[in-house]
Amino acid sequence: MNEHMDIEALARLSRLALTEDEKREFATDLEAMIAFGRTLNKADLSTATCGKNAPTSLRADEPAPSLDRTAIMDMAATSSDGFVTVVRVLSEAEKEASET
Amino acid sequence: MKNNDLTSLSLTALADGLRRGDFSSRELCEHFLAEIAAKDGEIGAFLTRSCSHALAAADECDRRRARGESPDGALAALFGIPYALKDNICTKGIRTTCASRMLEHFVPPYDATVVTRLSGAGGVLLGKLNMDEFAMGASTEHSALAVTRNPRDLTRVPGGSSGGSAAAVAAGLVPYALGSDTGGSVRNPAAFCGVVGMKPTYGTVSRYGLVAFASSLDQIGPITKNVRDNALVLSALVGRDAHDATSQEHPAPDFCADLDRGVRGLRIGIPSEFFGEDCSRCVRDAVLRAADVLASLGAILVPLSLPSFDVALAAYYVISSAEASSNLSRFDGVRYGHRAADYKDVESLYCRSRGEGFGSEVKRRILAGTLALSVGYYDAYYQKATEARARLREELTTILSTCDIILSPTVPTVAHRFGERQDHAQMLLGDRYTVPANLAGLPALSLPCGTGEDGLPVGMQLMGAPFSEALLYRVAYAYERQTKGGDDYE
Repeated sequence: MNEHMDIEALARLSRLALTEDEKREFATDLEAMIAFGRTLNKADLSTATCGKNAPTSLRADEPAPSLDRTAIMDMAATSSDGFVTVVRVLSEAEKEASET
Repeated sequence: MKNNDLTSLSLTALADGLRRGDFSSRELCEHFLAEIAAKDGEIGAFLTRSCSHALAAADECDRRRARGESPDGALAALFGIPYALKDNICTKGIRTTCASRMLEHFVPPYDATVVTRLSGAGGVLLGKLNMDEFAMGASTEHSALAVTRNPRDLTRVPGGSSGGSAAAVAAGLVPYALGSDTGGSVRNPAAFCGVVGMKPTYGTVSRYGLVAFASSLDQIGPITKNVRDNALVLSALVGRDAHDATSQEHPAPDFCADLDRGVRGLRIGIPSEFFGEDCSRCVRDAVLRAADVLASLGAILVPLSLPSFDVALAAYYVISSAEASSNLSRFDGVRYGHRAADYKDVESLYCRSRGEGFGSEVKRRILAGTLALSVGYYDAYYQKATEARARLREELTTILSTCDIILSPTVPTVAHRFGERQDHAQMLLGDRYTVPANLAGLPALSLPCGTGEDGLPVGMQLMGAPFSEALLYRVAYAYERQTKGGDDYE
């Protein structure tokens, strides 16, 4: 896989539409980043643990007031009759297949 | 009292003046709004000014004080006093942009916990401050919305990513401000602008309502003109919050209690790796002079080594980018943020919205994070980075079992000129001294320690064991008192 293909695949995974100039710029930057990341191999980490996460404490699982519904609906890009309207996620063919 | 006097007063002096009736909260608020109107055209610290909101809050404080309802104790220190926030901290009804086109018009429906706490303490919010987009950067040059200049030299950057917060405090536009620190974003601009900035122990301050960059590293912290002010503000912020599962009660939340105890007998570690060739001579000299001042006050300087220092920056970059690529997936034009006008299906809606809404630095880090988490790279990069993080934490724990604090420069250089650092890797090197505290979850404070090249401020960093904020403030205060003659703003 060449570098140009790499950056396009990575952009797809990242859900980023990039211009041709950006693809060239970021491909170069990512090569540098990969080289920079290789400095991690300089360290002898053979005895390191994978580390512990910060302690967490969850609140009680009890009903509590949530944010105001109207305020939330006002934030939606598009809404209708109290519902958030979204872009179709299935094509017509996929929709028909799911209904049969 | 002359207006200039109000600008230079410490929080303690402002609170005393309000209590005595020398001026009202409204007068104080109007004074700082006038300062912003007069000076911020040149500085560019504010993205949004919340004037009517601020005046209403100030009037409410005056009414409460007249009724005898002003609070006692630590909360009294901030009552009726203006402040401002980095623009990645959510404010109900006031836009929160993260200095990004993606969130240029976002108005949160709720307040961050720190905002709720400061409102409860009678804080008067003047507005929202510029930053590197989504807190990714160390100069504030990556803001998509404004240019912020360093008040100490307008041709130079203020540092970042909380550059607006540090510049606003340094320019006297606001008595204190909050920033956020993922790899040094409070301490770096504090050093560049000659003010005091604290990155607290991870979990000390709730992250609820802070727009996430890298959740295992992010902490909110105060930026102030002096050490005591910083301790007062942090005292109002700390504590467990049910909305943030990683938040904890601080075991010693009165950060002013030990300020006057001095440094006699304290062991101060000086790690050689922080004074290497990448550290400019003027910064090295200024910080070593500061170490000598502390030694003259009775502290014991302990030369030491932190071997994992060399891999800390790479580990930080991998971990922070990986977390950012996940955290920023919510900005897709559907759940949050800018929505592209032209798209053919949901996939192109996501890609185009994100392509149009994010700036270059954010895209670069999302791509880097996606790469680090992808098959073929995960073990070599992300796993290695978490192991390096664990090793660094072990080394710092060992050092801090024999030393009370670690002293180093905050940043290797003084503030650079706009556009001087175009190279991405070179810009990252500015984070070298600050990222260890984030990776290990330790508290770290930056305070001014003289000047370097062209008379620009130099910052020194004090790093301590978890929950040792009071000790960091104590050492910083001893230095500040010795070199500036006490609470110099009082």
